[in-house]
Amino acid sequence: MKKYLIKHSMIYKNLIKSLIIILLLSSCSISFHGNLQRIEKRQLNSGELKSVFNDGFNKVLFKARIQLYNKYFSGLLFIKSIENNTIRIVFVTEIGIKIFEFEFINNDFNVHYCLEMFNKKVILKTLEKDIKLLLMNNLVDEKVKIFEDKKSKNKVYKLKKNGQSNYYFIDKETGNLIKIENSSGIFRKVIIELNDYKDGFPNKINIVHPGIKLNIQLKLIES
Amino acid sequence: MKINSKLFFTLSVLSFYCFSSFSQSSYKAIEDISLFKSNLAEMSRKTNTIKSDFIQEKNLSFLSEKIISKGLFYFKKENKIRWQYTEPFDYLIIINDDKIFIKDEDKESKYDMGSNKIFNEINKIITGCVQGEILNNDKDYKIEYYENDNFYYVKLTPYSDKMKEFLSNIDIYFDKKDLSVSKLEMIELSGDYTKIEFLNKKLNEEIPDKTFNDL
Repeated sequence: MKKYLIKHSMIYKNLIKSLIIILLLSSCSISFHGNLQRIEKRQLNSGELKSVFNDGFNKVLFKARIQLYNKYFSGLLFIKSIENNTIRIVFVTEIGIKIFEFEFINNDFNVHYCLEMFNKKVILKTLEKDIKLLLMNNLVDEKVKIFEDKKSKNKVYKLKKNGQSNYYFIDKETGNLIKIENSSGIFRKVIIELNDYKDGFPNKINIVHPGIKLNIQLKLIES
Repeated sequence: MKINSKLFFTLSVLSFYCFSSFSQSSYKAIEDISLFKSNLAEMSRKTNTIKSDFIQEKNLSFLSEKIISKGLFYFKKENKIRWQYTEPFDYLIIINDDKIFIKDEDKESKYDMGSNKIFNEINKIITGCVQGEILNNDKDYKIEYYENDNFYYVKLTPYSDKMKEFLSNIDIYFDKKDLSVSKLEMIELSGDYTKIEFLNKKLNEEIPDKTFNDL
């Protein structure tokens, strides 16, 4: 019996060790929302949860800084809405060298141009996902769980799709979207913070990936 | 990550130095190229400093949009440059002999030119442009010469595939009055281009050395 217990405690110890190693290796942060209190679960109403790049959006120019692994790239990120639910996104350096140009038609993603340094599957996939998170297309008729943050009293919408959860944090005072978080299982994959709102548009957007060294800082120049 | 930030920087520097624009239709080939080149070399020999404003226009052809930025340009012989964007954002590049300094708002970076082959190459381009020697670099560029009433227009087409990924050609426009660079156009394969115009040029005015010190 004693031998059996020792054997089992060894298994648990190894299991815990393995879990710790997995957590360390995956370098993902844990998605934990213990401070959220569920209010209701229902269908999402049309227009209830809107992107900052909503229907009236035309174009915007950001000063952008992108950290890719241990390299920094700075430049200008230009986003323009064109007809037929199409959005173009262009990143150029300060001196005018184009780094990438993407197009989103509804939820389809096209790469029109991309320099070799960004032209890697994992990077393109990540950027595509980030921008889709920001654009928030097709958020209609989805089941949503609505929470309230016990501390800040902010409203939090949780939408689940294909094993991934998206959290949208709404400031209780202003009604502005202040954070978007995407998690897969218990790991947070992307955190987008939208700050310094002026005239309903955030002057700062920070995109952080806990699992991959690709971070993006955007600062509004003109809209 | 074959194309690293240093190559990137090479392109940045290149862009300062080469100029262009205007419709090419009114241009005809320069007949006496060696005379033009020797005049340019003479002008470069006499130029110790350049102070200028610049307007940069990034033209996104598909979107029919332009991104306009403005700033200040300083050059001092032999190898000091200050390239400062002031509108609509702050961004500063300083080259001081073998050191390169970049200030992007709160982030400052320093590079050592001598530690790197590419930076050495940049150095050659810089001095080459200021002294007109870049026009002797037919190893890296196919070089064509044109002129109209107001400008000499030199078209550089890079041979290297790496450069071609960024730019299909670089056009430099020299003002006929004083042979200073007036305009630069960097044209991409997509048809997008960056135009930089140099305005209010002042040649051989005193520029204190501290202009080229890092901050």
